[in-house]
Amino acid sequence: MPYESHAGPVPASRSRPLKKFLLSLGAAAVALALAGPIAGSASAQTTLAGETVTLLIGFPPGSASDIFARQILPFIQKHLPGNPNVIVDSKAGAGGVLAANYLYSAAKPDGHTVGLLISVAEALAVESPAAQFDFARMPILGSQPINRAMLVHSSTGIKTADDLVNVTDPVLHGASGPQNTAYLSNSLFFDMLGIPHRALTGYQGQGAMQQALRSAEIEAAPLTWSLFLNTRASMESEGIMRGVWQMGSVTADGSVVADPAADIPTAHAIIQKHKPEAVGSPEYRALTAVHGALALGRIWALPPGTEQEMIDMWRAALAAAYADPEYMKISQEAGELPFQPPQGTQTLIDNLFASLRDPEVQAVLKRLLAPT
Amino acid sequence: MDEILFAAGSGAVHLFGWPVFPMLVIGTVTGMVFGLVPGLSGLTGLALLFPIAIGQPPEIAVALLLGLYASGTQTDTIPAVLLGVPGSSAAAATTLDGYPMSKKGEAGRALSASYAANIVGTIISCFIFIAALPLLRELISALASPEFFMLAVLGLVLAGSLSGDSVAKGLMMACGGLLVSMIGLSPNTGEPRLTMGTFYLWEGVPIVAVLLGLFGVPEVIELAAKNSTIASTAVVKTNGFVRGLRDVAEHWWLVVKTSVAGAACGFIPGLGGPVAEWFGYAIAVNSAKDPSTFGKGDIRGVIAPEAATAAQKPGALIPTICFGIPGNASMAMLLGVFMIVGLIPGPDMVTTKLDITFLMFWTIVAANIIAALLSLALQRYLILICFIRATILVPILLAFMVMGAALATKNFGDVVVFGVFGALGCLFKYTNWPRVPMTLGLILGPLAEPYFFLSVDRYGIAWLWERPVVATVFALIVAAIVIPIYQNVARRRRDRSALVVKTTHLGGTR
Repeated sequence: MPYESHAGPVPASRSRPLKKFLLSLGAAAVALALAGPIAGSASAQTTLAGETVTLLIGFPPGSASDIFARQILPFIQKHLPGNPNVIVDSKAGAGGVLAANYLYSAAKPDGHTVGLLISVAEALAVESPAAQFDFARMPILGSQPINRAMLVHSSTGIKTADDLVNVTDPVLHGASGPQNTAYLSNSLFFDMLGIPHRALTGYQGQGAMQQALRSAEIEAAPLTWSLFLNTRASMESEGIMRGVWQMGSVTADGSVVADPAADIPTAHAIIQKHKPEAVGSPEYRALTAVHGALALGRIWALPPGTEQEMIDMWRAALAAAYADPEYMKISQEAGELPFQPPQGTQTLIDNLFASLRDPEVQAVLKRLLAPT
Repeated sequence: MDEILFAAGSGAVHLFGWPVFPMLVIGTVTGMVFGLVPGLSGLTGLALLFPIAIGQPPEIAVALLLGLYASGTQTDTIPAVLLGVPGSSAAAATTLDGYPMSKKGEAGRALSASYAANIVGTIISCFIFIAALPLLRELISALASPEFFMLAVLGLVLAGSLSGDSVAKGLMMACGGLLVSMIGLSPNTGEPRLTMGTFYLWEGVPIVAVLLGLFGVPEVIELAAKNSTIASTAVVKTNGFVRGLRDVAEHWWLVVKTSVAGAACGFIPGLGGPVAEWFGYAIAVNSAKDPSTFGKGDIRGVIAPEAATAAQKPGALIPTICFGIPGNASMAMLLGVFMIVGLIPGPDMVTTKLDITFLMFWTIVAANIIAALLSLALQRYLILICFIRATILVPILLAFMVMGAALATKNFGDVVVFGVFGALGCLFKYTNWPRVPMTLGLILGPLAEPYFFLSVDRYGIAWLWERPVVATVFALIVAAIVIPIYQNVARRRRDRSALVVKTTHLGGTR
């Protein structure tokens, strides 16, 4: 008899545990979803152990930015609490701006994505339509200034900055494009010194520009500071070209300082010496703005809405990575300029925007950017 | 001279030291994998190995990274020959004759000839540059934008006039490639062109996705449609090894010529692998008494481009280490690492650090030999890919290709580009329009365009007749267009007269 009474309920009893199981699964999922953010923020406070952190860059693998990111990556990993796995993700596009747009609007503000934004301040300076992000809403972790040396061909007769005032023939200077900082900086510099000049734009990278300089197709061209420091001696012994001035780095108080690693003056110092009347002019302020964008060449930032604890954790980790003796040795050998902490970076950003809002500076930049 | 020999010896001692040699093997094997898989390039491999190389002594970094750099051109031939899909853009010409050979069951012969040509090309190139180091410095200083523009046009015209049955079709496809290359930000003014309102296209169309689409998809579709194996014959001679070696020995003069041409392409910044390859192929076709066998499985069509691409690699090293001017994209990446590990470009590299320069050359030679030996050892198994059923192979290949298309950027746009160019590739294949000139237009367009603007900007139009190198290259360009047309006409006339003779013999039955 008991067998018969069991015959009916069997399928039911078989399905009931399944239903129960599914229900409990659903409940667990809901509980997890609810608990997720809380648990996430709680664990974030202490450690990122076993998790993966993404370092977002705006240029493709193998670019200078990629190499720089991979250089500092092990030290970031070492100094983040819990030593998470750190990977580099390149979202190349629109001259580095795509990564900034992505960090601003698509990246999760959970502290697991950090952006190393390259040349994005330049894009803002020239009002690129692609720049769809806002520094005011992104937590800034600090920045790494970029400096450049200006090389001049021996045929110009310019050996030191003091020779510049004697130049009468037009100087041909090269740049990658008419929105590039080198183009803007040199045009303003030569204009203020009253030196006739003509820009040749369209060189695809430093290699092409160096070659053009070597063949005397152009007479002046920019070179990345680290490459300049490392090739300077051989360049001078060869005698074809030499570094005559540097762009320097704009500091938080608005002054421009030369990197003492090479004893060549900044563009600002040359103008102060030879054309003191130009100091303070709209062109001079525009030059400071352009070099200010260069000082913000590599900005470390988090997505908008990241919690304060995460921001603090990242700031501490980044400062420690830069201060790591082993990293300092690598960065010194590569000729990198010192790290700019968050406060200074914020001031640089504020200064840049203040000068770009100045109608006189705007007029100067618009004139240079207008298609000829 | 003693000093140079001493440096050469000391470079070799470095190479076989511990742990330099094991690092070389690791780099080489990694490079082989990245060369073998279409869509993965040596560039991606270099990016992966960077963190390991940085922080190492210069000798180890050089062995690891240059090993990877050198071995990719060995294995990129394997998919080019076996599947008709070039493993990298520098193996596109190899497919023209390598794949037909594979279909005839001569894959083993084609591959072993390719390995040997690679090794010989590398060695020849290394020795040319070691001998000519001081002179080349002067030469490269004389080249400026007009010369670079003309050289790019020459590469384009060679691809256009040589890769199809019709010069006109080839040149039209090359122009189509140039048009596609104009998508993106204008290099001169920075304005977005043909970007269809998207930011994705600001950087231009991704070359890897285009290559995989144009060359990969049509072959895979055909494979799927036939539902058979890649090799159309059941008998495959995996023992064509000796035959391949003998081919290289028989055509030694062709190997020397193409190696010299390839080395020159490497030395001139911006030309790189694809141009070297087409130069090599052009030399093979032009020096042949009967060029009609090319494209149908002629071994010379495999040997020539392979020797040229291999020779290009040591060539690209010279401007990089002497002037800090990267000879190609991989060298641009390597330059950064060289500097971090303390190898500063400049005269030092040919004076005080000459032993490291030699180590670089020996590394490239050794990596080629190691890669060839490993490929030979595994060749028997690699050839088996030809005999896997299409139903198994097609999904795997497609998955690899989609992965390869979007691997570097992880952008869905790359998958769309892959799809669009896949469809175009099928269209071109079945309507018999050559796809290679289009690819080269796409690769050379971004080089040629700014150089053209710069030339006009700097020299007006006087550069067209005032510069001897420009005039020489221009003459070569005219020859590259006229000679194939003349040959086509001559062949047609010959065929017709042969036909007339035949028809009179057979009483007009044809």
